[in-house]
Amino acid sequence: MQALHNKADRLGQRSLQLFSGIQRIYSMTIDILSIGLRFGWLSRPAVTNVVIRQIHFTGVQGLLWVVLVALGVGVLAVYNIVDFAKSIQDMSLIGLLISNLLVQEMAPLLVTILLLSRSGVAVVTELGTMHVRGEDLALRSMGISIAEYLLWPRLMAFTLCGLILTFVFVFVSIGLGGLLVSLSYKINFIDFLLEVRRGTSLDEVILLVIKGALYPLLSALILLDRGCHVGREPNLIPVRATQGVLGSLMAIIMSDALIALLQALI
Amino acid sequence: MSSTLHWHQLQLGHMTIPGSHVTRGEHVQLVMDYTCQYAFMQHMFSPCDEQGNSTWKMWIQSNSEQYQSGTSEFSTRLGSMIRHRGLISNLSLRENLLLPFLYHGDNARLQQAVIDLHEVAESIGISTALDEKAGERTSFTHALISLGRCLLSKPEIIVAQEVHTGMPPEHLHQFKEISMQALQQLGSGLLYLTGSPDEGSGLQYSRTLTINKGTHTEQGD
Repeated sequence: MQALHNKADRLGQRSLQLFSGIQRIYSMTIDILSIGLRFGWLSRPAVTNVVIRQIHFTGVQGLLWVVLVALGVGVLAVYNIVDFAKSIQDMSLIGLLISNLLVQEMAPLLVTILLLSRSGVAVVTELGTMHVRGEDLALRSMGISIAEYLLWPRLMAFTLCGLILTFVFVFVSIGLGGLLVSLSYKINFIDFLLEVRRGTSLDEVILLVIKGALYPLLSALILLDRGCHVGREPNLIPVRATQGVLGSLMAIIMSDALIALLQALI
Repeated sequence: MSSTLHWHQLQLGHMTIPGSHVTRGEHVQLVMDYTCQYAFMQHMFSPCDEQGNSTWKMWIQSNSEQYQSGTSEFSTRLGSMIRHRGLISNLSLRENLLLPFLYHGDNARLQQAVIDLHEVAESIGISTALDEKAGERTSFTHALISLGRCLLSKPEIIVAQEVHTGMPPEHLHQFKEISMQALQQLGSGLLYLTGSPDEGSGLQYSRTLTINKGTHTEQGD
């Protein structure tokens, strides 16, 4: 009986922790968005400098990695899809499968995973180190808003670059992947593009925009939350970085499942 | 123009900080343990939306105007020198000195700060290192940059927290000279938060408030 009570206690504690974490992230999101979407930061050179640095780090420096992965994934996916469509002699499947698998599922997921592995750890460690050094107090003493100066630029860069890189991924994987496969396989590149165009609807493009922005946004929020809760203990920085990356991965996979469920219901 | 920093009585854990004030040109020492110093600064520097109206406990009175703590008007009138909290490590020393001006977006103040920058850097002895990345620095450099920012922003009141503590003797001597000269030049009020009345700044205080568990004493005028 006592063991059962202990289990119930642990379950209750974890549920409370989860709910308080969600509530904390929700109020942080409202704080950051209410400051960021007022666009007052555009007239503050200190904040625009951080925004530019973050976009350069997350988007520009991450571009090469996204192109390389998109090329590899594109060649593999297009090769297998075309091969499958030819084997069952139904070329109309090419567009459908490319749109459903490569565009809607793989592109936003892989781009967010790439962002997480490249910039996610950097976000948590940078914020965590600043907290350990007490730089948050230094900023506040100068009347600088932490949400505006530290959090908004990172959230915006992650979301905006995530969306743009998702589209880069789609164009590179379909374009270059299709081109390379057409060189060595019995399909004409123009026919391939026509099949892809035929299999893609406006709804799917809208869904790509939603996923392409939502996944990096969710990831960034979890990373920022973890980075802001390092406290004064340097040993916690790698722990929080791991929690941030794993939490973000879980969040995007669960969101993907939720979106698929909603699509099925609608 | 005469400005005064006021605070109401504050309850920080078991400690009660009596309400008091610091006027321009006045030097006041507030002696209490580190936890209370930190909590006091949190009250002072937390954004006003985090404090809520019911906990509005610090403000600057400038003629007939009142500026609540946590607002940009308050922070432009208040300078700070916090021990080992003067630098943002991923910025250069120049950016660190200009950071509040670059953030608040007041072009006239920013231009004036850029004009004054070299003179201030010269006076605190960092003119050749302005474009170096801050990174990890000594308490001495943190203190110099904080002082440099105060010299650029010319605040009505400066809050210092154990800024002289933890420096080697030669740096302490150098910083004491520079800071005394700077305070004389600025004429600002000074509120010095410290754990010990003999904090090593060499400054003369018009009042010293000592906070102990359950009691507080005040010495001076």
